[in-house]
Amino acid sequence: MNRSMARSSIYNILSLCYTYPDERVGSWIIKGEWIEELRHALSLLTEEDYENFLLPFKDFLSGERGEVLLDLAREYTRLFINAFPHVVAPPYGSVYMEKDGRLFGQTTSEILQFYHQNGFTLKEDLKDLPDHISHELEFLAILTSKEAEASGSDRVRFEEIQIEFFSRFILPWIYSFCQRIMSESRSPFYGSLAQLTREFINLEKNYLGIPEDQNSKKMIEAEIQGG
Amino acid sequence: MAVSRREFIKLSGAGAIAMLFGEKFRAFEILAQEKTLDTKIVHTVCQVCSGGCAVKAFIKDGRVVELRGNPDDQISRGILCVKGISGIQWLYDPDRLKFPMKRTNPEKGIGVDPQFVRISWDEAYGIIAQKLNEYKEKFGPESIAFIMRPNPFSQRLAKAIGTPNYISHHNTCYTTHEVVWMTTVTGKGRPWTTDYANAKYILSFGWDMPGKAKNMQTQHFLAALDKGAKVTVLDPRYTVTASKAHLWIPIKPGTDLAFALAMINVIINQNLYDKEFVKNYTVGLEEVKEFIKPYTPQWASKITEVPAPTIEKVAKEFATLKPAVIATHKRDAGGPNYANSWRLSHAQVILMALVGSIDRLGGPIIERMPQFPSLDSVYPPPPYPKPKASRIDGMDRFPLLLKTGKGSFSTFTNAVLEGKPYPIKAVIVRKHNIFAFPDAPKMVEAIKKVEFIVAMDIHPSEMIQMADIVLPDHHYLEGSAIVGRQYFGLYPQIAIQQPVIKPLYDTKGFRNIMIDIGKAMGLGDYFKDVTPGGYDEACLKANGYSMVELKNSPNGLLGDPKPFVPKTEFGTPSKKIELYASELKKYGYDPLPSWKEKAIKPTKEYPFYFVTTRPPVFIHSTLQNLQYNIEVYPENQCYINTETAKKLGVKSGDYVIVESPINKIKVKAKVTEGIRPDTVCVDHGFGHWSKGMTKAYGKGSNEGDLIPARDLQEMLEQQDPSMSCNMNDLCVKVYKA
Repeated sequence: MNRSMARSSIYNILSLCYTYPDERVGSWIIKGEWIEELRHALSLLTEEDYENFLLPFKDFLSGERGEVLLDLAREYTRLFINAFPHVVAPPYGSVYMEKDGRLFGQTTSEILQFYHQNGFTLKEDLKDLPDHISHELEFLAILTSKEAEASGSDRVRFEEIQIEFFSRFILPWIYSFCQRIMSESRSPFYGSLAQLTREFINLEKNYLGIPEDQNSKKMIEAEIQGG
Repeated sequence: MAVSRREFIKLSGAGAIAMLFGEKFRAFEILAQEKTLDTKIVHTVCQVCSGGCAVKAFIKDGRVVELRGNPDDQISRGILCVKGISGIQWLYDPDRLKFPMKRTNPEKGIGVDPQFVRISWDEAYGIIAQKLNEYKEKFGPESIAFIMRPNPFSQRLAKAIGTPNYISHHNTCYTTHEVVWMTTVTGKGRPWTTDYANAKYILSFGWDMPGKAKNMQTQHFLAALDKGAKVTVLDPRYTVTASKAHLWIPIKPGTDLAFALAMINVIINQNLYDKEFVKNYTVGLEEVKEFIKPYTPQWASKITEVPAPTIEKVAKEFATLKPAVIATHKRDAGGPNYANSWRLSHAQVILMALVGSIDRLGGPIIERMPQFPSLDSVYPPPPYPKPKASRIDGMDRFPLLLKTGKGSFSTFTNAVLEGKPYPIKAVIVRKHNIFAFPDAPKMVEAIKKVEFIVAMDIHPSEMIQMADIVLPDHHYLEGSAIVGRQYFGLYPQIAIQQPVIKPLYDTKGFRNIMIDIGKAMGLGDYFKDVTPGGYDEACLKANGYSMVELKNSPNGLLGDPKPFVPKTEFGTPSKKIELYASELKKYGYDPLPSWKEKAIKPTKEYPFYFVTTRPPVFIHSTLQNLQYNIEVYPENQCYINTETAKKLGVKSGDYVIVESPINKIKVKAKVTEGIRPDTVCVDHGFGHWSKGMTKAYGKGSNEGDLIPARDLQEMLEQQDPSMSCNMNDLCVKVYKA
């Protein structure tokens, strides 16, 4: 139960960090309470020390509030929405998973169906796509918290759902996505966030017992070579 | 792993994250009942060009997977063009504008990152209202300019603000045809419907719509060919249309008017005109008879370099193979390309009147469109403030053009740069990219002088890169409207445009944006109860329909075919086709199309005529960011005649510099027999420098950079009522890069 809660907490924090830092989300980020939460939740999952990943956040967020907010907003817009030059890392799974890099492909329909099959839907006024990284991570936060509340066969079922979701909709693209951010981010916040995401996804992959996916490995190598 | 109580308390904090935002979930909600993704067909309208082809959108599992023409539509007739079918790529392009944004980098220019940040619509409207009101107060409402196509909602906002400055691209596009047809035939604008399919003879002065994949025109043109129509094409370049013609005359650029005048001469002198039509439906024949005397085929031959017997032959065919039509659309030779283009357009009207094909089957048809009431009659506004200043572009000096409500580009650029007669402080731009202006680099400088730019678009164009506030428009597959179409309107047929999917992002429809800005500026009285939906309903009602009826229409269309009734009265003061145009005379313009040369002739330094064309996979400077389209046509080319290329030492695939007196561009050479040795042609639509358009960025170059932006004085001296930008009236030099 506690491990599930810790995982849920991390998914939630990551999901929020990949949400646009408007006044509300930005304030939450700057307040920084989540860093302590993250440290603690991670300590429940592994013996490894994540201090190196967390320190840059603290440093960055200790700056002048207005400047930090503006930096976050600029960098988020540049990395994920529109940029000159080019959006660095579109936060939508289909861009990485579809052959021609287009949005809203077959995989997007599939993820929406997956949400529906598991009793959830996206809010009507969301005004963004179903395969946004932030939504996907929130969905895993929901699944893991459900798992934490459940017992017996329900618990197994929630874990199975997570495994399927994770391997179908997260693993195929998350490493490429993180790699793009790490290579091109100008902000310690999003660079560290991508690193942390990668590390956590590694942990999750081991925990959920998902074998190494050769395809995504190739994708990430191509991503690195492509620079 | 065991967890202590202390640790558990900490973790419960994590669970509370969601609660922090007041809701259990952020993006999700519990599904109340089973839900399947939409798989259906939705009727809508293509908005890539102004044609308005009715579309059937195929939706599978919530995604748009295919677009087809609506077979019941008189425009598309079940077929879409290459641009139309690529609408899906546009909809789903990751580079699209998704949310309102504001600039955080005050520096502007090519290669400068605007450092946008996402903002809410409310914040965007707040900033816009504050800024615009500030400029209005300090510098007068005329310091605010609208740059966009005419639209009743934005026109109302401009009038409510009190600015006379509503600028559009039309004098780079078709104002020559527009003013001529208005004064000689229609009393409004040019006709957009041509019944090629029933024509027996089709004459093109540089018209190449099949080469540009213009859907309805290409379909009807091909139908005419199948039915045995004879086609003659005058064009310095061997176009797609020329390749289908029985006779291709590679005429010297800018001399088409001489050819047309000589045709009139032949038809009059040999008594080949349609006596009955001319007698019943035209005025001015006597004036034409006198005027046309000097313009013999021999005279025209010297100017055009076309043998006199050929001119005579074409004239005779045109007058005897009935119905005969002159194919025109926008930027053909009669479009605003040359100093004499408006005269050519007039000569074309005379020719078609002489052979009796105006508003007759097989000829140019004044479209039978559904008549929509004006916004002001549906929602009467309070009195508008009277603009105190004259227009920044000087268009008030061209009253006939002013009546059409269209134009003007090049004089705007110059006036903004000079800040005369007053400074422009803010512009609101929609889908008018910097590339559309002649001398785009100059426009960049002009737009840099403008302190506040609000830009609306779908893609991050060059204008978006210069913007202070970016407002993302719906893609047309996400928007709503009712569309009465012009490009092949044999009878009034209304098509529904409706969202085929829910808008993907936080975008808005243009008409709503205009209302919202008006309200935010404190001009709410002008927009009280005004809604796009309410206006659409009123437009339908005026035609005896309702929105419910349109939505329930099984094919998304309303309006049954009606028999064609030829017009016997026209929109001129005499109610007849005015060969000798009294309205032109009244405003001090030449009432008959006397011969005038094009403005610029080749010199030793700039020895080549310059013409432009547009590849079929793009619409002007739009769609280059679509992956398949840019793959098909990856960069623009300079077409050079084989003989000329040899002299220049250029092979196909080499890069050449094309240089005009104002700028130079580097472009790939395409060596061909299909162009005159004294002429080069460059494709339009390339050279995007907005790095936000990842697939279009850096491909080719913008040939518009070579075209001078003419100032008001030059426009006045030309004595041309249409303010033609003379888009091809220049000469260039070409050399290996």
